[in-house]
Parts: sequence; C-alpha cells; structure tokens
Amino acid sequence: MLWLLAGLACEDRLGFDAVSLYPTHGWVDGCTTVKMGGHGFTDDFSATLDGAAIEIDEDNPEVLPLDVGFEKWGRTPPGEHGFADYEATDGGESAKVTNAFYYEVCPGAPFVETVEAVDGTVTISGCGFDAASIDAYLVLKGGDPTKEKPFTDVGAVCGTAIVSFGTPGTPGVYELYLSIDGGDTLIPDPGCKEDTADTALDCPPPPVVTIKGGA
Amino acid sequence: MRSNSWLLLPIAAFAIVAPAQAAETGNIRGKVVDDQGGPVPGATVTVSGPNIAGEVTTTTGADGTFQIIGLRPGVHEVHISMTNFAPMQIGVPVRLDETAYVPITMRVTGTAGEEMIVEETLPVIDTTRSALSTELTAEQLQNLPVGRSYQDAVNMLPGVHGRVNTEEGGPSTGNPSVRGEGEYGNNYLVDGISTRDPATKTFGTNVNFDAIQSIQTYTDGAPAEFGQATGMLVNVVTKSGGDEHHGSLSVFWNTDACFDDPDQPAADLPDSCKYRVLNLETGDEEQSAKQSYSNYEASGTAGGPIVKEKLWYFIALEAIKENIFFEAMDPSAPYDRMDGQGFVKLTWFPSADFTLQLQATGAGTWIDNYETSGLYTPEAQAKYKATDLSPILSGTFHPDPKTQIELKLSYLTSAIDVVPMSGDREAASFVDQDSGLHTGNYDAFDYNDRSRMGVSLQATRVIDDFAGDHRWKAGIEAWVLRDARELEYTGPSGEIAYVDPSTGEDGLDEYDGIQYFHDSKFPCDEEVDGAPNANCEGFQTYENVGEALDHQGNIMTAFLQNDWQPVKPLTLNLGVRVDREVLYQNAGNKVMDSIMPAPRLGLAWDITNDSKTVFTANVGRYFDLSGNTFAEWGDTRSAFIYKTYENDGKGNYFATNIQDPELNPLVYCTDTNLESWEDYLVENYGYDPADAADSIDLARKYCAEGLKPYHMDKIVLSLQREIVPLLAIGVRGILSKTSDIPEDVDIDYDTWVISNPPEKYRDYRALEFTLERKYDKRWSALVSYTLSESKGAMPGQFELSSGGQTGSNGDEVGVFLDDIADLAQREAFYEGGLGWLLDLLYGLGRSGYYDDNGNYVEGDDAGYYGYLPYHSFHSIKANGFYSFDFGTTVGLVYEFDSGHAWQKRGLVDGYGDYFAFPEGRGSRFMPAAHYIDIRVAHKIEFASTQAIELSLDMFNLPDLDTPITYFENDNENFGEVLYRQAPRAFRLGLRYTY
Repeated sequence: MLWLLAGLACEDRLGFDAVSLYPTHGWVDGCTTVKMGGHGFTDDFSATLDGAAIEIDEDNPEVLPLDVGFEKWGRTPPGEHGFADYEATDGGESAKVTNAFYYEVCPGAPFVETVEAVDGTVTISGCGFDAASIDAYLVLKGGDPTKEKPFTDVGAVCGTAIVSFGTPGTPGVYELYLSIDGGDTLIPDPGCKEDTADTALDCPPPPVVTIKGGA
Repeated sequence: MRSNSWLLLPIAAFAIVAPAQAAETGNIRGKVVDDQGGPVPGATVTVSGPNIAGEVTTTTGADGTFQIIGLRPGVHEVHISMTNFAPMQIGVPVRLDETAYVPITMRVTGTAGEEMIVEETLPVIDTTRSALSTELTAEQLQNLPVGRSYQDAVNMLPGVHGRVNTEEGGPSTGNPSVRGEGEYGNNYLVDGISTRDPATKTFGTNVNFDAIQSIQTYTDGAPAEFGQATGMLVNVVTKSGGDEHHGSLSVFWNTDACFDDPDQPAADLPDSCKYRVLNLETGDEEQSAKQSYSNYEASGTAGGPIVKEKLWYFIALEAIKENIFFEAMDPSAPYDRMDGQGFVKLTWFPSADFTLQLQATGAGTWIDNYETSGLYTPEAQAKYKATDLSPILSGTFHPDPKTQIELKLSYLTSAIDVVPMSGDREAASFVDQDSGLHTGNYDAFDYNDRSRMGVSLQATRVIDDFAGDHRWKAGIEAWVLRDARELEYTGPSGEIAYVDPSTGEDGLDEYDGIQYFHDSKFPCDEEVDGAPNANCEGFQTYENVGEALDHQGNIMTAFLQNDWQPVKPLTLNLGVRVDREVLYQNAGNKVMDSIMPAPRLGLAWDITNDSKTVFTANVGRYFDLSGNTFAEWGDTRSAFIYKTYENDGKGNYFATNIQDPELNPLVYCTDTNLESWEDYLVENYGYDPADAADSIDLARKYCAEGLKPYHMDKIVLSLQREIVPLLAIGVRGILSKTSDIPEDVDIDYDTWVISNPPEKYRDYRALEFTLERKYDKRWSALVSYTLSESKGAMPGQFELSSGGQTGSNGDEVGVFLDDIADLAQREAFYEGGLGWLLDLLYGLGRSGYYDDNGNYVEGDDAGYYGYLPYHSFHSIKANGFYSFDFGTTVGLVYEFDSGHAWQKRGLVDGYGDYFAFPEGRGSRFMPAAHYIDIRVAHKIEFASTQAIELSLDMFNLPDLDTPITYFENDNENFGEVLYRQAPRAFRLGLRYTY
C-alpha cells in the first residue's frame, strides 16, 4: 500500500520530460531550426546533440502562452555525419532520445536551401558557407550575372549555415549567384545549357529573392 | 455422509457440458450453536422469501454449519428448528454473488416453544472472497439521482470514469472507462448473459430501468466464471415477479435549464448552454449555440403469480419521447427521437427442485434527422433506426440446497440502419469542401446486423466434509458472434474517363455510387449530359467489388473454480478460465485463433474470525475478446473501392486517393495469411520470388509468437472492516498491466503485419479508500476516494476525436508505430535526400526492428505513452440516500474529478491529421470538476400496499460549467473549450406502485 501511495503522490505533478525534436535531420554545418517538445520545461532548459549544445531561442514567437513549459525552439550545433543522440536537461533532470537527429553532409559548398530579404538584409540558409571567402551576386531577373558587381560584405549569421548581406536597395525580383573564388566561378553556372529534358536537373535555376521597396 | 465422489462432479461437468454464466444469485452459510457454544447438528434450516417459490430446506452438519446456494437476491427469512430448542427466525439479506454469514445461537426450552425472532444485524462483509465487487440494489437505483439506465448507474462506483466521454469529448455516452481500460474494456451481461455488441464491444442492449432487480459489478479480481473483459463486468439482474402481485406506473418529465427558451440571445446564455457549431454563412466555428433537451417518459411494470408457487410473470414497458434542440439544425427538419423498451419474463417451477425461465427483451430507437451538426440540409438528412431483441431460456436444477445446475440458451440480435430521409437511392450527395455542408442526399444506405447466439451450462456444488469446505463451480459455454454490414452508396452508377497524370494515359473507371465535392469556385450542383459537371472540384466514387461485410467469431469457454476454506478464517479462491476465440473474415478466411488461459488466485482471510474484518489478496490474468471488428482490419476494410478524383482545371479527372482493399491489405500473423501474402507480393506487386520470401521471412520474425490476444495481469490487495453494524470501511491497492495489444507494423513499405509490438501497453495503479453503509430500510451510502494513474500508449478506445482519431479503437490497429524505425532504412532515406519523407511521418512512433544480428531493437513511442484521456489523479464519489419517517427520501450523488489528462496533438503531415504527441500524451490536465446531483421524493402510502411517489431529481444543481474537453489539435483552435459540464437539469416524476 505504502509504495503505491508514495509512488502516486510523487507523480501528482508532471515533472520534466523531453519527447520530440523536429525536424529529424539537418546539415552537418548545424543551425537547423528545431522545435523541441515535452513538459516541465523551465528557463533552466538546455539540450544537446551528441553532447554539443543546441542554441536555445528563448524569444521565439512561435511559443504561445499556452505552450510555455511545453515547447522550446533552438538551433542545432555543427555535428558529425550520421545519427546523433538528443539529450535535454532541466532542473537536474534529463531525458535522452537516441538517434533522434541525422546530420547530413552538405551536398555542395555552398548549398543554398532558402533565401529571403527582410528589412534590407538578404539571408541565405543552407550549408557550406564560408563567410570569409564567399561572394554573393544579386542580379535582376533576366540580367547577366557575369557583368554585375559582386556584393562582398557577406557575413556569417550562424556558422557556415546561414549568411547575410545587405540588399542592393532597388526593389525588384533578383536571382542569387554565389562564388567562392572571387567571381571566377558562379554557382549555379549561368552558362549551363540544357540539351535535353533529361539533363535539366544538372542545370538548376538560381534562387530567386524579391526585394521590396522602402528597404 | 456423502461420498467424496462429488468432488468429481465439477470435473465431469467441465468435460461434458457448459455453464460459465455469471451469478444472478447469492448464498447463505451459517453455523448453529447452543448457548454453551457447542455445535447443533441436525437442525432444520428453512429459507423462504418473496423471490423463492415455496421453501428451501437443509440440515446442519456435524459441526453445526449449513450452506444454501443459488438464492436470488433480497431479504429472505431463515427459520431454524431443532428438538428441545426454541425455533428461531432471522431475516438474511442475500446479495448477488456474495455469501451471507448467519451465526445462530439456539436456546434450550425443553419443548418446542414459540418462534423467536432474531433482531441481530448480520455481518455485511463476505469474508470468503477476494474479488472487489459492488451491488447496486433496487433501493439505491430507486432513490439515488441517476439517469434511468444501468449505464448511468454504474458511474457512481469507484474506479469508474464515466462522467466525461473521453472518446468523443463531452458528456458520457454510457460506456465508461474502468480501471484504465477504456470504453471498450467492459462486458455487459443481463441475467448472466453477455449482451455486448460483438463488433463495437460497447453495451449491446438497454434494459428497462424499472425491470432491474439489482446490478452487480466486478471491477477487480473477478472469479474465473467471469471473463471477456479487462475493465468492468456489469451484470444486470432483472425482476421475476413472485407470489405476490406488484407493479408500478411511472411518468417522468426531463428537461435541462437551457430548454424551451429559443428566443433568448445566445450571448446571454451561460457557457454551459453553449457548444461549438459551424456558422454556415461564414464557415467559422462558433461557441454561440445551445443544445438543450426535454423528454417525456412513461414506464409500467407488473409482476406476480399466474399460479402461486408454480408460475410467475413479470412484464415491463417503457416509452420515451425525446426533444433535443440543436440550434445549428434547420428548424424545418428537427431532431426527432423515440425510444421504446419491452421486457417480459415467465418463471415456471414444474417441481420443487427445477426452475424454467423464458424472458425476452426488446428495444428500439427511431430518430428522424439524425445528423445534428447543422452540416446537413433537410434533403441530405438521415433516418436512424436501432432495434434489438434478446430472448433467453434458462433452466435451473437444484437437486439439493448445495447443488445447482443451470443451462441457458440465448439469442441476441440487433440491427442499426442509417439511411437517407429521402429514401432515394439515385440522387447523389454533395459535400461543400469549404464548409463541410452536405446537400442533395445522404451518402449511403448503411445496414448493420449483429447477433450473439450462445449456450451455456454451469454446475455448482458445495462440499463441506473434505479438507475443509469447498464450493466448486464449473462451466462451459459456446457462442457464435456475427456482425454484418451492407453499404449501398447513393448516387447514380456510371463510368468516368480519367487521365493518369504520371503517364498521361486515359482510362475508364466504373462506379456504383458517387458523392460530389464542390466549393465556391466549382459549382457542382448538376450533371452535364449525364456526366459529372466538368467544373466540379472533384468527387468520390464507390465501386462495389465484394460481398457485404460478414464477420464471425466463434467463442468457446470453460472455467473451473473452487472457493476452498481449509480452515475457518481462511478462504482460497482458486480458478482457471480458458476462452477460445476464432475469428473469420468474409469467405470464411480465418485470421485469428486464440486460446486464452486465465488463472485466478485469491485469498480471503477473516482476520478477527467474526466475519467483520477481511484481508484479501488476488492475482489474476484477464483476457478480452478481440471482437469481430478485429477481423475487418486488413480484410477488405470494406467491400468497396473508394476513389477520389479531382479536376486538373482543364476538365481532366485524375485520381488523388484510392482505397482499394486489394492494394493495401494488412497481414495477420498467422501462417495461412503469411503464405498467401507471399504469393500476393509476387503476383500483384511484381516481387521477385526471392525478395517476397525475404519479406515474409522478416514478417515471420515479428510473428514468431503468433498473433496473441491482449490481456491484463492484475494484483489486488484489500483490507475491509465493519466498524459498526452495516457500515464497513476499506482500503485497497490495485496494480495492473495490459500487454500484447495488437498493432500493424510496417516491415518493408509494402507489407504491414498485425502483431503484438511490445511498445503498445497500458499501466494502471490505484490506492482506494471506501466507506459503505448497507441499506436497512432507512439509509445507505457508498463513499470512495481513489488515487490512481492510468498510463499507456493506447487508451483502449478511439482517441479523443477533436481531429485526432487513430483509426482504431485502441485495442486494434491504428497509426501508432507507422514511422520507420530501422536505422539502416532511415539512413538510406536521409542519404537519398528523402529525409523530408520521414518527417512526414514524424510523431507516430517507430516500431522495433531486427538488427543485423537478428536481435530485436525496441522502437520509439514518440510520446504516445503517457497519461490516458480518462486518467485523473484524484476521484471522490459519495452517494447515498435517507428515508424519513414522514415518507420523504433525499438522495445525493456527488463526484469530484481532479481533472483528466489532455495534450496537444501535433499534425502528422503525411497523414494530414493530428496524430502526434509532441509534448507527450497526457502532459496537461483539465480543471477539477464537481458534479452534484440531488433527489427529493415523497411517498404517500395507502390501502396498505399501494403508494404514490412524487420525485424531483436535480442534476448539476449548482449549474457548474467547468470545461471538460478542450480542442487538442495544434492549430488556431488549440486550447479552446470544446465542451463544458452539461447544464443543470431536472427530472420530475410521478410513480404509482402496488
């Protein structure tokens, strides 16, 4: 009887547990935005992937008042290719999910996943961005990237996964090109020719970003 | 002295016939001593009473003890006589499946003098059994403020979670969760015959409330004669009449506080009068409508002798006209419901030791405009009809007071039909994709038939002169459970030309029924040249490709149990029960053959040796039937091919969703199914035979132990003490685990096997305190406090349906473990740039898998394991009534629930529904809720045996409106109140009895 009573009384309030980490994969460069779910989360919450700390975003607007204590957002640290264990800690308690996340090798150096322009800043997310050596070219759609002046003020936002630079100022729809050799080679290659439908995948179009007025 | 060959009787009965019926009777045992404490052998003990035709007589043994079994519940007169002693008389209350202990001290008179009436109150605790059961007597049912159904009445009992419908949200629907086993874990019996619906595993029949003699319930430690349930066993015992004429005529008017005020602005209504409806003009859901009801009920009973001590009759009739006001519904087509129930029983005593009973229950429900959501226009409404009929024939043979043999034959049949109000087969139905509004016609004629046919035989024998006292009981029974469903979709038959978007090739599909989808952009209210309007957004076609569903379960059961009292204060309850369930799909395809051995072991120790203090321990295994629906999963799922077509904007149709039973069957873990599936992979999926063999080899690993029925193992400890006459307090601890719950596991993308993954289980534990005061013509009370937790990966019911159904009842297969667990497979997805596909399934849980060394690696439940929807830590229940001398009776039913578990449900993109538990199941708790129901009645007696009673029942007297269901889906509605406590309601009654 006593063990029943003791056990039940101890669990009358839900303690800490970390249940979910989403998405389940990202680049080895890290900086993948992840949503962590569970219960009993406090300001003391911290989490790691294979021992490396996930950077917690305490001000994420996705966390609504009803979600406080149940949800955290963060960015993954760089990691080794392959599966990684997720471990969260709060108030001295911890929870671990093995093989919860998969680090994928960056398919290109650099590799653009998304690009967006907000408040005069263009942010590129993906992987393989060495801010020190990378140049970004924004070309009005339909323009010739080989004749445009490069933007050289690319700066790291999060490791080698997110970089940013200032917008050209003129509103319009732009195509994004990158270079890691001072402009000798553009990524993607604007000279890539499509011979047949079968080779279309070898000539990916450049990412497009819209610069709005007033920036 | 009797021969010990009687010991063989139960074994013989076990071998040749079949009882296995739940008890509708109780027993008396006693000891007669003289005023010096010495035993009085040879005393004559005679039992008589209103429920006994004539008398039952026995004599005391050498030690002065006697036993009489098989007495119907009620207060019986026991007379004891012996030469040179004054005859004695004592009133003995016999309770269902309990043994009343009667200690008698006789006084020497020298000659037989005037009979002495013993006024002593007898002990109320049965110190010979370890099971936890409660009997709700006719007095309690009559005087407590409960709904007039046995389903409502059992909600008063400890361990029963029935106030809130945790399956659908909102108030109860009559299938409570008991001891953490969900709404489909209970078995409902009427006079010992299971009436459970063979397909849904819910209660299968209603019983006229005024025909109920008493209700016996087992929540824990039920003996071997009871089975096919992991939750509660409810046995409703009906009245039989008697040698005196009795009857009643009652009328009731029920209404809630929101009814009959349709002009009141919704904004002014209390929250308890509101619920969510869809505003058809805006397409938004609003909490601005009210649901209220009023009904009229008339009930009559009559019972008595046709021939005294030879032939009794009892008859009960009831009719209910219900008006429920759903503001969302079109006023020109209101919800209109009528219920009727009839019950008749004949009891014939052809001889003193033989009883023959024939009884039949019939019930029906008829509803016009069945769909209440407001999403069905009058021409698209449905008509609902449910009828059931349950004849039972039973014969009971009492060769002597210590022996009983009972044979029962029963046939229960029910039909539920949902058909268009229009009755039109050809008119098509339309569904607006923006608002969900149904127009044109109802989508199908849906006919469901269920039946249970059974025979059972049971034998009981008391043996009191062989290594202590024994009460053997044995039985066998056989059932055929059948459920059939015939669907006929509305809309014209025809054919549709389509384009395969991947190949560009044209095709032609035939269909037997059609339902059109349309929205504001694609008006689709008519056909063009006999074909669907090319501007339609889309439509769903139904092609009848098989026979109507017809599933059958053959059930065979045998049990043997012995209540063995080796020494006076100690009783061992020993038993074993074996059920066998064989399930068949259409065409006689056997998918499951389960043998379920369930041992039970109990101990009851009369600590003080005066029948007032008992310590019990009970350990047992409990199986439930899988139920006929289990055969449906992986069968055809239906006899139809469903195809959803959409328009590509150029007038070309392409199929976006195809549910073809031929393409996606599930494979049960039986050899027959695995072998046929191997052939199927080759013939229909184009597998290389070697690859198909590999798949089946892998499937065999999951199926190594076969497909097992789920079961619960339970331990119960209790201590009970009668502290003053008729009042006992108790404490009990309960621990149970339910495992081997089946689930479908994806082993290679194409092959899904239904097996018993270890990740799917439930746990329950509780500490419970009780106080029970038995009725004595003045008052009774039952108070309990339960501290408990119910956890598990599946609740044993459909998930709370605010969009989060798992697609199964929780004891069958659903979406749990549909994510891919095998690390090698996952890695291949990631490396192939298909990690996003895995994310589409995230949150469903990953089944375990076999690694390269053949070792099983347990999967990840992804938060599915946690507090189940009906869990709440603290529950207090207090119910009782008091009858004053001046004819007034006051009854109270109170319940406190500390708040049941709920959680956020995450969207699983791949399935388009909220199936995930990103924060963990049961990570949040509802607010605490109080339920206070009061009954006041005044009875005026006249003409010595007649009375008129006026009663007023008030439910939710303080009109509390605590939320009881929140929206759980992770969208903009998350956390909103979906349901509150039902508003205050009244029931005014007038009853005449004779």
